[in-house]
Amino acid sequence: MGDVPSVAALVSAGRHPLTGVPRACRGDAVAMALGRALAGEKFALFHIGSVDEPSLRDYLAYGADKVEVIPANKGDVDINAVADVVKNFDIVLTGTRAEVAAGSGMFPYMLAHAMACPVVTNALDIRVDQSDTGTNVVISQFLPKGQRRSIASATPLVIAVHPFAAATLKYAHSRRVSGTINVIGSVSAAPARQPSWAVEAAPRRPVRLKAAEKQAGHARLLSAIVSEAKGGVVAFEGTTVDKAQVVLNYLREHRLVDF
Amino acid sequence: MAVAPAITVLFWLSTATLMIGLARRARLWRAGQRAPVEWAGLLAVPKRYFVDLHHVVAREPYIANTHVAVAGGAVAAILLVALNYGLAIYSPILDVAIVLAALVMVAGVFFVWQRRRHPPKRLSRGAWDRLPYTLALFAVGLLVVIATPAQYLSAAIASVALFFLLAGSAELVLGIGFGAPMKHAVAGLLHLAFHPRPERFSGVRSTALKPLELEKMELGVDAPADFRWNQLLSFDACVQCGKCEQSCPAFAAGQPLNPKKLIQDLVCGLSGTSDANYAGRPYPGIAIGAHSGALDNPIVPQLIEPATLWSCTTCRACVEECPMLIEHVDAIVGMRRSLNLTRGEIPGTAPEILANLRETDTQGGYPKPARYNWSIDLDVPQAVPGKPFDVLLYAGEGAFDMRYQRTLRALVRILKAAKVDFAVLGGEERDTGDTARRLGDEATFQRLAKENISTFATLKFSRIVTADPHVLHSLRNEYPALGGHYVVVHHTALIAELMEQGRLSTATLTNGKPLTYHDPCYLGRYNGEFEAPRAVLRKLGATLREMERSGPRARCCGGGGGAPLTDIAGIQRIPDMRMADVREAGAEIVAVACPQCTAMLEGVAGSHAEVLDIAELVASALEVPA
Repeated sequence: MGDVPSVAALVSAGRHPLTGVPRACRGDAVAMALGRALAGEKFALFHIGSVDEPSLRDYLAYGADKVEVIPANKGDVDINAVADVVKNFDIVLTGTRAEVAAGSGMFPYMLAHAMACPVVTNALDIRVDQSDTGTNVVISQFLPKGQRRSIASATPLVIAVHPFAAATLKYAHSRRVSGTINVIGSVSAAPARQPSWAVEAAPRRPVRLKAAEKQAGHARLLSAIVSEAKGGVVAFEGTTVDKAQVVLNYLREHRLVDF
Repeated sequence: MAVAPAITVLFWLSTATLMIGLARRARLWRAGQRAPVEWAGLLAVPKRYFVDLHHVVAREPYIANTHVAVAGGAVAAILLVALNYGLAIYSPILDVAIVLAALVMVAGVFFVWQRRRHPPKRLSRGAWDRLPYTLALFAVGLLVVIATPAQYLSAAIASVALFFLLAGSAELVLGIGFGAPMKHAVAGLLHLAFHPRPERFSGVRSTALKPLELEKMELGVDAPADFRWNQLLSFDACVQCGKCEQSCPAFAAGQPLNPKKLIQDLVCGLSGTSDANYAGRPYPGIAIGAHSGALDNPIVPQLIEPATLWSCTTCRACVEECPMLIEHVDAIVGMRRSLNLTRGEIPGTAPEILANLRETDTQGGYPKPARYNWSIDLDVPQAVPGKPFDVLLYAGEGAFDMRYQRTLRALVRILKAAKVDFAVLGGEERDTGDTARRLGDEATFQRLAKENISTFATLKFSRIVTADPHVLHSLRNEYPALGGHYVVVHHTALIAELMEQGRLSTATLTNGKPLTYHDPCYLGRYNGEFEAPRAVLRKLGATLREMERSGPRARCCGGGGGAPLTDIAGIQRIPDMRMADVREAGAEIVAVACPQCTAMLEGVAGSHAEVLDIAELVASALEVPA
């Protein structure tokens, strides 16, 4: 085993959440940057999908010399075949969650399962220690609320990199133009791994109209320590039209409707 | 009489030395890239010197007159020597003329010496300090050799005088070959002939950046040899007077930029030397002597630190002040382009902003349709293909800023009051790419520009109005190179026009607070529009209290060139200095005409003058028709 581990990064097609413009998936680009810093010459970048995927050029701009594309149709990827492609690498990096399709975040787990090796997710920092007993990879893992956990593992392993990992992404137009995208082999099709979820439109919840509080800051702070009954009117009397009028008056008074 | 032939020999020897030196220097310039130049420029040198260049020099009469005496005397004397001794005529009448010229030169040299005794800090010292002495040697040597009657001219006096003349001539003729101070004379004249922006001499404010041919992998300036050859020549023209340094807002703020040092560093890069011999003020916070360059070595960081390039606000104050008409901003953006396009190394939040521009066509990463959210209750017409209208209102990135939305709303009120037939692009409006371009991201700029041009092509309108001078500059001056030709007016110009035509009835401003006007760099220095905003303010009955630095010499607010994004640390902030200028002028309101200036001046901490856009002032004075 050499001094430097060989690292593969698997990157997905990214899309901007607002505009849908093709771009490098942020988390995947960070994984790529960590991998390049870790392995130098012994780094390879793979994408499983279409060779015409427009976002791949972004990965070149962010520093990859070349992207190796394993052609596959959207959604029908045999995970065993993917494992086959990267099985000779010491470390396989992925992002945490794709920006398109289901974005279930299951990919690193499935890949590690197919490779029969450990998986570490939410990695912020990866350090490689060489010792007599072999290569030891030390990972700092993201936990909520500023907590971090250090995990050590032997190679090979799959690491899903957290988008907050400390990697500076440098976008250079010249690399975007000069980098290459190669097609290698192919991955046999397998039944779609899309989870069998029922898709339905999100219901639109009614928005509660609330009168804006017109109080000075000082009064607001006071109201936090003094419990005070908020005024209100209970409309018992009159017809339904009268009662509706009370509501309408309230809404008008607080400019919640303009008719 | 043996002196005369000696002068003849000395003259031809000097001429040959000068030519060899010039050839040596020209070899360095020729390492630069090809540039389209007209040889006819050589014929235009006298006009360019006496009119365009002297117009700048004359802003400081003392040194202008001194230079006229020294250089005028020297040139006249040398030409006469060339005639009388070079051609071996030896006419006594011409001798009298030579003596007169030399006397004028001596008088000028005296004033040079006077100034060099207590020089302003902006002047470089070092080799420049010896000039009064060597020039005096030349003039006095010439006087003694020529004016002394032969019978009094002993061999001793003659040889001493000839030695003086030799030493003085050496300063004049060796300068160009060895890169000494007097190289400015030769390089300066050639620079005037082959200026990178020759249109400047026909009275045009030439401020648009030249587009890169990206498909030919033209990616900006990495090494000095990547500059065009006439840019390299222009660096050699620098006289280190420090006018640029004095006017540079980044230098004053203590950011690591000094335009004079930058040009001198590029001279080091051109001639393959270190900056150890530089004898002026350094980049604030960066020691002299640790950097050196060579024609084919990358400039950053061996010669110039990246923070220096990213400190520039592209305000062009240095270019405005430069008596040698050097184009500092072109050089800085050229180097930024290389850093951006080939290395992707940009500090601060700029990479995020550029990514937003690539992915959302807005700087802030907003959805495009949100740009006109501020106009939702104003019933602003949306431009639709096939429905001609008069004026296209282009809001720019400022439309996402809640403070600036007040200005835009005021502008819409004014347009409606004047019954202008206008429309907005709405969700179709992209960023103009101006910020990307100043940050060196030419690829994003060109993409945005081309997409905007094709959007404009679907619409029928007669002109574009914008409240953002940065938008104005790119649409008016930089889109033509990419095929987009539009009539673009700034909102202040449109308001002035509407007032002129009597289409806006305004009352005078009631509060009567003293008011000053801050010239945006991209409206003033970039586009020469100083008068319209002031005319509008006068129409409103405001008494303008001009700041000391206003009009073409206005101090930048610090918001240009992506400087707020790269955010290079200094000792103080540029907008704070500008607000101090406002205070000094005794103004309680500072009228602005640009979203960047608004944001920068509003961001000044502590109590400060009220920042109001001219549109807001006009809208507040609108007389509602009865």
